[in-house]
Amino acid sequence: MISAVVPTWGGRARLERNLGGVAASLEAAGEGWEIVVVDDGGGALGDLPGPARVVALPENRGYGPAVNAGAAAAQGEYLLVLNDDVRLETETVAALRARFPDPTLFAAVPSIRSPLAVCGDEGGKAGSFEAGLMEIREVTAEAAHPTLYPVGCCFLCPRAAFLDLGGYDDAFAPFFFEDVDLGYRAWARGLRTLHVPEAACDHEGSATLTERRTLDERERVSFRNRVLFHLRNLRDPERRAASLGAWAAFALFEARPERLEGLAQAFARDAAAPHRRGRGPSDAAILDRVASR
Amino acid sequence: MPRDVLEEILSAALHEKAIAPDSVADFAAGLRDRARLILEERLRPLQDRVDTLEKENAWRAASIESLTDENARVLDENRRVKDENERVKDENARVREEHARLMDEARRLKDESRALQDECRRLKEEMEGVRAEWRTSVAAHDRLLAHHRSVVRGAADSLLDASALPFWKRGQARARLADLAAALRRDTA
Repeated sequence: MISAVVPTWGGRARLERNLGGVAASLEAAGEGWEIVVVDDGGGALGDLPGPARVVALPENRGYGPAVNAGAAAAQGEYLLVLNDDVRLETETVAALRARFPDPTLFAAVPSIRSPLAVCGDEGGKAGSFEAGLMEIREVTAEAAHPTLYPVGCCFLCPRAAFLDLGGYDDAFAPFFFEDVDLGYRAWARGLRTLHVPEAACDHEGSATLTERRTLDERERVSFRNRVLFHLRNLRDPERRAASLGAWAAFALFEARPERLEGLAQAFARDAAAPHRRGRGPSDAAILDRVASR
Repeated sequence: MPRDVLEEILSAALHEKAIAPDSVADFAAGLRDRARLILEERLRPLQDRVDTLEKENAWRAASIESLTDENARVLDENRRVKDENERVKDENARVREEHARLMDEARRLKDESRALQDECRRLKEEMEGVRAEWRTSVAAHDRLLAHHRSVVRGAADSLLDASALPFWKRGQARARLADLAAALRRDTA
Protein backbone atom coordinates (compact mmCIF):
# COMPACT_ATOMS: atom_id res chain seq x y z
CA MET A 1 0.00 0.00 0.00
CA ILE A 2 1.21 3.49 -0.85
CA SER A 3 0.32 6.47 1.31
CA ALA A 4 0.54 9.84 -0.36
CA VAL A 5 1.28 12.47 2.30
CA VAL A 6 0.44 15.97 1.17
CA PRO A 7 1.03 18.78 3.66
CA THR A 8 -0.81 22.00 2.95
CA TRP A 9 -1.18 25.41 4.49
CA GLY A 10 -4.35 26.89 3.13
CA GLY A 11 -3.73 25.31 -0.27
CA ARG A 12 -7.25 24.15 -1.04
CA ALA A 13 -7.17 25.50 -4.58
CA ARG A 14 -3.89 23.72 -5.29
CA LEU A 15 -5.25 20.48 -3.83
CA GLU A 16 -8.31 20.73 -6.03
CA ARG A 17 -6.03 21.14 -9.02
CA ASN A 18 -3.66 18.30 -8.23
CA LEU A 19 -5.22 15.63 -6.00
CA GLY A 20 -7.11 14.05 -8.86
CA GLY A 21 -3.85 13.43 -10.70
CA VAL A 22 -2.28 12.02 -7.53
CA ALA A 23 -5.17 9.57 -7.12
CA ALA A 24 -4.92 8.53 -10.78
CA SER A 25 -1.18 7.95 -10.54
CA LEU A 26 -1.57 5.95 -7.32
CA GLU A 27 -4.33 3.87 -8.88
CA ALA A 28 -2.15 3.18 -11.92
CA ALA A 29 0.58 1.76 -9.67
CA GLY A 30 -1.68 -1.26 -9.15
CA GLU A 31 -1.78 -1.63 -5.39
CA GLY A 32 -3.68 -0.20 -2.45
CA TRP A 33 -3.30 3.47 -1.73
CA GLU A 34 -4.49 6.34 0.39
CA ILE A 35 -4.07 10.08 0.39
CA VAL A 36 -3.29 11.79 3.69
CA VAL A 37 -3.64 15.55 3.52
CA VAL A 38 -1.96 17.22 6.48
CA ASP A 39 -3.66 20.50 7.24
CA ASP A 40 -0.73 22.46 8.61
CA GLY A 41 -2.80 24.92 10.62
CA GLY A 42 -4.56 26.57 7.73
CA GLY A 43 -8.00 25.01 8.27
CA ALA A 44 -11.05 25.43 6.06
CA LEU A 45 -10.06 22.71 3.62
CA GLY A 46 -13.68 21.52 3.27
CA ASP A 47 -14.46 18.61 1.00
CA LEU A 48 -11.45 17.58 -1.04
CA PRO A 49 -11.56 15.77 -4.36
CA GLY A 50 -11.00 12.02 -4.13
CA PRO A 51 -10.72 9.85 -1.06
CA ALA A 52 -8.37 12.11 0.90
CA ARG A 53 -8.02 11.75 4.64
CA VAL A 54 -7.24 14.99 6.48
CA VAL A 55 -4.87 15.11 9.45
CA ALA A 56 -5.31 18.52 11.01
CA LEU A 57 -2.51 20.11 13.04
CA PRO A 58 -3.64 22.66 15.63
CA GLU A 59 -1.15 25.26 14.43
CA ASN A 60 1.22 25.84 11.56
CA ARG A 61 4.46 24.01 12.26
CA GLY A 62 6.06 23.92 8.87
CA TYR A 63 6.71 21.45 6.11
CA GLY A 64 8.88 18.90 7.97
CA PRO A 65 6.69 18.47 11.03
CA ALA A 66 3.60 18.28 8.81
CA VAL A 67 5.11 15.49 6.72
CA ASN A 68 6.18 13.72 9.90
CA ALA A 69 2.62 13.93 11.21
CA GLY A 70 1.30 12.55 7.94
CA ALA A 71 3.84 9.72 7.96
CA ALA A 72 2.84 8.85 11.48
CA ALA A 73 -0.82 8.73 10.48
CA ALA A 74 -0.20 6.87 7.23
CA GLN A 75 -0.88 3.17 6.92
CA GLY A 76 0.99 2.34 3.75
CA GLU A 77 4.23 0.45 3.35
CA TYR A 78 5.46 3.26 1.16
CA LEU A 79 5.25 7.01 1.54
CA LEU A 80 4.71 9.26 -1.44
CA VAL A 81 5.64 12.69 -0.09
CA LEU A 82 4.19 15.52 -2.15
CA ASN A 83 3.81 19.26 -2.08
CA ASP A 84 0.28 20.47 -2.74
CA ASP A 85 1.46 22.24 -5.92
CA VAL A 86 2.82 19.10 -7.61
CA ARG A 87 1.01 17.53 -10.54
CA LEU A 88 1.75 13.85 -11.19
CA GLU A 89 1.59 12.01 -14.44
CA THR A 90 -0.35 8.76 -14.47
CA GLU A 91 2.82 6.66 -14.69
CA THR A 92 4.83 8.61 -12.09
CA VAL A 93 4.09 6.54 -9.02
CA ALA A 94 4.45 3.21 -10.83
CA ALA A 95 7.86 4.22 -12.22
CA LEU A 96 9.05 5.19 -8.75
CA ARG A 97 7.52 2.14 -7.09
CA ALA A 98 9.32 -0.13 -9.57
CA ARG A 99 12.62 0.77 -7.88
CA PHE A 100 11.52 -0.99 -4.68
CA PRO A 101 12.08 -3.17 -2.79
CA ASP A 102 15.80 -2.49 -2.62
CA PRO A 103 17.51 -2.72 0.76
CA THR A 104 20.14 -0.18 -0.32
CA LEU A 105 17.60 2.38 -1.52
CA PHE A 106 16.03 4.98 0.75
CA ALA A 107 14.09 7.05 -1.76
CA ALA A 108 13.30 7.50 -5.44
CA VAL A 109 12.83 10.99 -6.86
CA PRO A 110 11.18 11.71 -10.19
CA SER A 111 12.19 14.28 -12.72
CA ILE A 112 10.60 17.45 -11.30
CA ARG A 113 9.86 19.98 -14.00
CA SER A 114 9.93 23.31 -12.23
CA PRO A 115 10.51 27.00 -12.81
CA LEU A 116 12.75 26.90 -9.73
CA ALA A 117 15.30 24.68 -11.47
CA VAL A 118 17.94 26.30 -13.64
CA CYS A 119 18.16 23.15 -15.76
CA GLY A 120 14.41 22.63 -15.67
CA ASP A 121 14.54 19.55 -13.41
CA GLU A 122 14.64 19.88 -9.64
CA GLY A 123 15.02 16.17 -9.07
CA GLY A 124 18.76 15.50 -9.50
CA LYS A 125 21.25 16.96 -7.02
CA ALA A 126 24.95 16.60 -6.30
CA GLY A 127 27.19 18.19 -3.70
CA SER A 128 30.76 19.38 -3.52
CA PHE A 129 32.82 21.16 -0.90
CA GLU A 130 33.89 24.63 -1.90
CA ALA A 131 35.46 27.24 0.34
CA GLY A 132 34.57 25.27 3.47
CA LEU A 133 30.94 24.56 2.69
CA MET A 134 28.94 22.00 0.79
CA GLU A 135 27.49 23.52 -2.35
CA ILE A 136 24.54 21.81 -4.01
CA ARG A 137 24.08 21.81 -7.76
CA GLU A 138 21.52 20.39 -10.13
CA VAL A 139 22.30 17.25 -12.09
CA THR A 140 20.45 16.07 -15.16
CA ALA A 141 20.65 12.60 -16.67
CA GLU A 142 18.77 10.36 -19.04
CA ALA A 143 18.98 7.29 -16.79
CA ALA A 144 18.49 6.77 -13.06
CA HIS A 145 21.43 7.96 -10.99
CA PRO A 146 22.30 8.60 -7.34
CA THR A 147 21.20 11.96 -6.05
CA LEU A 148 22.14 13.77 -2.85
CA TYR A 149 18.68 13.94 -1.34
CA PRO A 150 15.01 13.35 -2.07
CA VAL A 151 13.70 16.77 -3.01
CA GLY A 152 10.84 17.42 -0.60
CA CYS A 153 8.24 18.27 -3.18
CA CYS A 154 7.99 14.72 -4.53
CA PHE A 155 9.58 11.39 -3.65
CA LEU A 156 8.70 7.82 -2.79
CA CYS A 157 10.31 5.90 0.07
CA PRO A 158 9.52 2.99 2.38
CA ARG A 159 7.66 4.41 5.32
CA ALA A 160 9.74 2.27 7.69
CA ALA A 161 12.97 3.77 6.38
CA PHE A 162 11.55 7.26 6.77
CA LEU A 163 10.50 6.58 10.34
CA ASP A 164 13.76 4.78 11.11
CA LEU A 165 15.68 7.88 10.09
CA GLY A 166 13.44 9.87 12.44
CA GLY A 167 11.68 11.58 9.59
CA TYR A 168 12.40 15.22 8.96
CA ASP A 169 14.39 16.97 11.68
CA ASP A 170 12.11 19.48 13.40
CA ALA A 171 15.14 21.71 13.92
CA PHE A 172 14.80 22.73 10.27
CA ALA A 173 11.15 23.76 10.61
CA PRO A 174 9.34 25.53 9.11
CA PHE A 175 10.99 25.03 5.70
CA PHE A 176 14.16 24.54 3.64
CA PHE A 177 17.02 22.05 3.95
CA GLU A 178 15.04 19.43 5.90
CA ASP A 179 15.10 17.30 2.75
CA VAL A 180 18.86 17.78 2.27
CA ASP A 181 19.36 16.78 5.90
CA LEU A 182 17.14 13.70 5.52
CA GLY A 183 18.86 12.50 2.37
CA TYR A 184 22.33 13.11 3.81
CA ARG A 185 21.46 11.16 6.94
CA ALA A 186 20.22 8.32 4.74
CA TRP A 187 23.48 8.33 2.76
CA ALA A 188 25.38 8.36 6.06
CA ARG A 189 23.58 5.15 6.88
CA GLY A 190 24.47 3.67 3.54
CA LEU A 191 21.02 4.23 2.02
CA ARG A 192 20.95 5.70 -1.45
CA THR A 193 18.53 8.09 -3.06
CA LEU A 194 17.93 7.71 -6.78
CA HIS A 195 16.86 10.31 -9.30
CA VAL A 196 14.58 8.43 -11.70
CA PRO A 197 14.10 10.54 -14.85
CA GLU A 198 11.60 8.11 -16.40
CA ALA A 199 9.17 9.20 -13.70
CA ALA A 200 8.14 12.82 -14.02
CA CYS A 201 5.99 15.44 -12.37
CA ASP A 202 5.42 19.19 -12.52
CA HIS A 203 6.05 21.56 -9.64
CA GLU A 204 4.42 24.98 -9.62
CA GLY A 205 7.31 26.19 -7.47
CA SER A 206 7.19 26.92 -3.73
CA ALA A 207 3.68 28.26 -4.02
CA THR A 208 2.95 28.29 -0.27
CA LEU A 209 6.24 29.97 0.63
CA THR A 210 5.81 32.62 -2.02
CA GLU A 211 2.30 33.36 -0.81
CA ARG A 212 2.91 33.35 2.91
CA ARG A 213 6.57 34.16 3.66
CA THR A 214 8.48 37.34 2.96
CA LEU A 215 11.66 37.30 0.94
CA ASP A 216 13.70 38.35 3.99
CA GLU A 217 12.18 35.57 6.08
CA ARG A 218 12.91 33.01 3.39
CA GLU A 219 16.50 34.23 3.15
CA ARG A 220 16.94 34.11 6.93
CA VAL A 221 15.49 30.62 7.31
CA SER A 222 17.28 29.29 4.25
CA PHE A 223 20.63 30.54 5.54
CA ARG A 224 19.91 29.35 9.07
CA ASN A 225 19.13 25.86 7.85
CA ARG A 226 22.13 25.81 5.55
CA VAL A 227 24.30 26.47 8.61
CA LEU A 228 22.35 23.98 10.66
CA PHE A 229 22.79 21.29 8.02
CA HIS A 230 26.56 21.62 8.24
CA LEU A 231 26.58 21.73 12.04
CA ARG A 232 24.40 18.63 12.32
CA ASN A 233 25.74 16.50 9.51
CA LEU A 234 29.39 17.05 8.67
CA ARG A 235 31.49 14.42 10.30
CA ASP A 236 34.99 14.76 8.80
CA PRO A 237 37.09 16.82 11.24
CA GLU A 238 38.78 18.75 8.43
CA ARG A 239 35.38 19.48 6.82
CA ARG A 240 33.94 20.64 10.12
CA ALA A 241 36.97 22.84 10.82
CA ALA A 242 36.75 24.36 7.34
CA SER A 243 33.00 24.93 7.68
CA LEU A 244 33.45 26.64 11.05
CA GLY A 245 36.08 28.84 9.45
CA ALA A 246 33.59 29.62 6.67
CA TRP A 247 30.88 30.56 9.19
CA ALA A 248 33.43 32.77 10.96
CA ALA A 249 34.00 34.46 7.62
CA PHE A 250 30.26 35.10 7.33
CA ALA A 251 30.21 36.50 10.88
CA LEU A 252 33.05 38.85 9.98
CA PHE A 253 32.17 39.93 6.46
CA GLU A 254 28.53 39.16 5.65
CA ALA A 255 26.49 42.35 5.28
CA ARG A 256 22.93 41.06 5.00
CA PRO A 257 21.23 41.20 8.41
CA GLU A 258 18.87 38.33 7.65
CA ARG A 259 21.87 36.06 7.01
CA LEU A 260 23.61 37.13 10.20
CA GLU A 261 20.38 36.55 12.08
CA GLY A 262 20.05 33.10 10.51
CA LEU A 263 23.66 32.32 11.40
CA ALA A 264 23.06 33.18 15.05
CA GLN A 265 19.82 31.20 15.15
CA ALA A 266 21.49 28.13 13.68
CA PHE A 267 24.18 28.00 16.37
CA ALA A 268 21.52 28.61 19.03
CA ARG A 269 19.30 25.80 17.67
CA ASP A 270 22.19 23.39 17.38
CA ALA A 271 23.30 24.16 20.90
CA ALA A 272 19.75 23.70 22.19
CA ALA A 273 19.34 20.27 20.58
CA PRO A 274 22.76 18.74 19.90
CA HIS A 275 22.74 16.20 17.15
CA ARG A 276 24.57 12.90 17.54
CA ARG A 277 26.51 12.04 14.45
CA GLY A 278 26.80 8.29 14.40
CA ARG A 279 29.36 6.17 12.68
CA GLY A 280 29.24 5.98 8.95
CA PRO A 281 31.01 6.96 5.78
CA SER A 282 32.96 10.18 5.63
CA ASP A 283 31.48 13.28 4.03
CA ALA A 284 33.86 12.88 1.14
CA ALA A 285 32.79 9.25 0.69
CA ILE A 286 29.11 10.25 0.68
CA LEU A 287 29.62 12.86 -2.01
CA ASP A 288 31.72 10.38 -4.01
CA ARG A 289 28.87 7.86 -3.84
CA VAL A 290 26.36 10.49 -4.92
CA ALA A 291 28.60 11.41 -7.82
CA SER A 292 29.06 7.76 -8.90
CA ARG A 293 27.09 6.45 -11.87
CA MET B 1 25.23 40.67 16.68
CA PRO B 2 28.19 39.73 14.40
CA ARG B 3 30.58 39.82 17.40
CA ASP B 4 28.32 37.51 19.44
CA VAL B 5 27.95 35.11 16.54
CA LEU B 6 31.69 35.09 16.04
CA GLU B 7 32.15 34.25 19.69
CA GLU B 8 29.69 31.39 19.30
CA ILE B 9 31.52 30.09 16.27
CA LEU B 10 34.96 30.35 17.83
CA SER B 11 33.67 28.69 20.98
CA ALA B 12 32.33 25.83 18.86
CA ALA B 13 35.62 25.68 16.97
CA LEU B 14 37.57 25.51 20.23
CA HIS B 15 35.20 22.89 21.57
CA GLU B 16 35.62 20.77 18.44
CA LYS B 17 39.37 21.45 18.36
CA ALA B 18 38.87 23.03 14.91
CA ILE B 19 41.50 25.60 15.78
CA ALA B 20 43.87 23.09 17.31
CA PRO B 21 47.28 22.65 15.67
CA ASP B 22 46.08 19.69 13.56
CA SER B 23 43.05 21.41 12.09
CA VAL B 24 43.69 25.14 12.25
CA ALA B 25 44.89 25.07 8.64
CA ASP B 26 41.49 23.72 7.56
CA PHE B 27 39.73 26.34 9.68
CA ALA B 28 41.90 29.07 8.18
CA ALA B 29 41.36 27.77 4.67
CA GLY B 30 37.59 27.77 5.16
CA LEU B 31 37.74 31.26 6.65
CA ARG B 32 40.04 32.64 3.96
CA ASP B 33 38.36 31.04 0.95
CA ARG B 34 34.84 31.82 2.11
CA ALA B 35 35.81 35.38 3.11
CA ARG B 36 37.12 35.85 -0.43
CA LEU B 37 33.80 34.67 -1.88
CA ILE B 38 31.75 36.83 0.50
CA LEU B 39 33.82 39.90 -0.21
CA GLU B 40 33.69 39.18 -3.93
CA GLU B 41 29.93 38.90 -3.64
CA ARG B 42 29.77 42.17 -1.70
CA LEU B 43 32.13 43.86 -4.09
CA ARG B 44 30.39 42.51 -7.16
CA PRO B 45 27.65 45.16 -7.14
CA LEU B 46 30.30 47.83 -6.65
CA GLN B 47 32.48 46.30 -9.36
CA ASP B 48 29.42 46.03 -11.57
CA ARG B 49 28.68 49.67 -10.78
CA VAL B 50 32.28 50.62 -11.57
CA ASP B 51 32.14 48.64 -14.80
CA THR B 52 28.86 50.31 -15.63
CA LEU B 53 30.25 53.74 -14.82
CA GLU B 54 33.36 53.04 -16.89
CA LYS B 55 31.17 51.97 -19.77
CA GLU B 56 29.00 55.04 -19.27
CA ASN B 57 32.12 57.19 -19.08
CA ALA B 58 33.49 55.72 -22.29
CA TRP B 59 30.09 56.15 -23.87
CA ARG B 60 29.92 59.76 -22.67
CA ALA B 61 33.45 60.47 -23.93
CA ALA B 62 32.53 58.97 -27.28
CA SER B 63 29.30 60.94 -27.22
CA ILE B 64 31.13 64.19 -26.39
CA GLU B 65 33.64 63.52 -29.16
CA SER B 66 30.83 62.73 -31.53
CA LEU B 67 28.90 65.80 -30.44
CA THR B 68 32.02 67.97 -30.78
CA ASP B 69 32.53 66.68 -34.31
CA GLU B 70 28.87 67.20 -34.98
CA ASN B 71 29.08 70.71 -33.53
CA ALA B 72 32.04 71.55 -35.76
CA ARG B 73 30.18 70.11 -38.71
CA VAL B 74 27.11 72.13 -37.79
CA LEU B 75 29.21 75.28 -37.41
CA ASP B 76 30.75 74.66 -40.83
CA GLU B 77 27.34 74.00 -42.20
CA ASN B 78 26.09 77.15 -40.50
CA ARG B 79 28.86 79.19 -42.07
CA ARG B 80 28.18 77.59 -45.40
CA VAL B 81 24.48 78.30 -45.01
CA LYS B 82 25.24 81.91 -44.03
CA ASP B 83 27.45 82.31 -47.08
CA GLU B 84 24.78 80.69 -49.17
CA ASN B 85 22.25 82.98 -47.56
CA GLU B 86 24.33 86.02 -48.45
CA ARG B 87 24.75 84.71 -51.96
CA VAL B 88 21.04 84.08 -52.19
CA LYS B 89 20.34 87.57 -50.83
CA ASP B 90 22.66 89.07 -53.42
CA GLU B 91 21.09 86.94 -56.09
CA ASN B 92 17.69 87.93 -54.77
CA ALA B 93 18.59 91.62 -54.95
CA ARG B 94 19.98 91.09 -58.42
CA VAL B 95 16.85 89.25 -59.44
CA ARG B 96 14.72 91.98 -57.93
CA GLU B 97 16.65 94.61 -59.84
CA GLU B 98 16.38 92.54 -62.99
CA HIS B 99 12.71 92.06 -62.24
CA ALA B 100 12.20 95.78 -61.79
CA ARG B 101 14.16 96.41 -64.94
CA LEU B 102 12.12 93.85 -66.82
CA MET B 103 8.94 95.33 -65.38
CA ASP B 104 10.04 98.76 -66.61
CA GLU B 105 10.94 97.25 -69.95
CA ALA B 106 7.57 95.51 -70.02
CA ARG B 107 5.81 98.75 -69.24
CA ARG B 108 7.89 100.52 -71.90
CA LEU B 109 7.11 97.80 -74.40
CA LYS B 110 3.46 97.96 -73.51
CA ASP B 111 3.51 101.72 -74.01
CA GLU B 112 5.40 101.27 -77.23
CA SER B 113 2.97 98.59 -78.25
CA ARG B 114 0.06 100.86 -77.49
CA ALA B 115 1.76 103.66 -79.45
CA LEU B 116 2.41 101.33 -82.36
CA GLN B 117 -1.16 100.14 -82.21
CA ASP B 118 -2.33 103.74 -82.20
CA GLU B 119 0.02 104.50 -85.11
CA CYS B 120 -1.23 101.43 -86.89
CA ARG B 121 -4.80 102.51 -86.38
CA ARG B 122 -3.90 105.99 -87.49
CA LEU B 123 -2.13 104.65 -90.64
CA LYS B 124 -5.06 102.39 -91.33
CA GLU B 125 -7.39 105.31 -91.06
CA GLU B 126 -5.02 107.38 -93.22
CA MET B 127 -4.82 104.55 -95.70
CA GLU B 128 -8.60 104.36 -95.71
CA GLY B 129 -8.66 108.11 -96.36
CA VAL B 130 -6.12 107.76 -99.16
CA ARG B 131 -8.08 104.91 -100.59
CA ALA B 132 -11.28 106.95 -100.41
CA GLU B 133 -9.48 109.89 -101.93
CA TRP B 134 -8.04 107.63 -104.60
CA ARG B 135 -11.46 106.25 -105.31
CA THR B 136 -12.82 109.86 -105.51
CA SER B 137 -9.94 110.88 -107.82
CA VAL B 138 -10.46 107.88 -110.00
CA ALA B 139 -14.16 108.71 -110.24
CA ALA B 140 -13.36 112.36 -110.99
CA HIS B 141 -10.78 111.30 -113.51
CA ASP B 142 -13.25 108.94 -115.10
CA ARG B 143 -15.83 111.72 -115.25
CA LEU B 144 -13.27 114.15 -116.63
CA LEU B 145 -12.14 111.61 -119.16
CA ALA B 146 -15.73 111.03 -120.21
CA HIS B 147 -16.22 114.77 -120.46
CA HIS B 148 -13.04 115.18 -122.52
CA ARG B 149 -14.06 112.36 -124.72
CA SER B 150 -17.44 114.04 -125.10
CA VAL B 151 -15.69 117.39 -125.85
CA VAL B 152 -13.35 115.71 -128.31
CA ARG B 153 -16.30 113.95 -129.95
CA GLY B 154 -18.17 117.32 -130.08
CA ALA B 155 -15.06 119.01 -131.49
CA ALA B 156 -14.70 116.25 -134.00
CA ASP B 157 -18.35 116.58 -134.91
CA SER B 158 -17.97 120.41 -135.13
CA LEU B 159 -14.85 120.07 -137.31
CA LEU B 160 -16.65 117.58 -139.47
CA ASP B 161 -19.67 119.91 -139.71
CA ALA B 162 -17.44 122.91 -140.46
CA SER B 163 -15.54 120.96 -143.11
CA ALA B 164 -18.84 120.12 -144.72
CA LEU B 165 -19.94 123.78 -145.19
CA PRO B 166 -19.67 125.13 -148.69
CA PHE B 167 -17.14 127.60 -149.62
CA TRP B 168 -19.41 130.48 -149.37
CA LYS B 169 -20.19 129.70 -145.90
CA ARG B 170 -16.61 130.03 -144.91
CA GLY B 171 -17.52 132.85 -142.59
CA GLN B 172 -19.88 130.51 -140.77
CA ALA B 173 -17.21 127.88 -140.83
CA ARG B 174 -14.72 130.30 -139.26
CA ALA B 175 -17.23 131.24 -136.57
CA ARG B 176 -17.83 127.66 -135.76
CA LEU B 177 -14.08 126.98 -135.53
CA ALA B 178 -13.70 130.05 -133.29
CA ASP B 179 -16.52 128.80 -131.04
CA LEU B 180 -14.90 125.40 -131.03
CA ALA B 181 -11.53 126.87 -130.06
CA ALA B 182 -13.17 129.01 -127.34
CA ALA B 183 -14.96 125.93 -125.99
CA LEU B 184 -11.71 123.93 -126.03
CA ARG B 185 -9.94 126.75 -124.25
CA ARG B 186 -12.64 126.78 -121.55
CA ASP B 187 -12.30 123.07 -121.06
CA THR B 188 -8.51 123.28 -120.91
CA ALA B 189 -8.21 126.41 -118.76
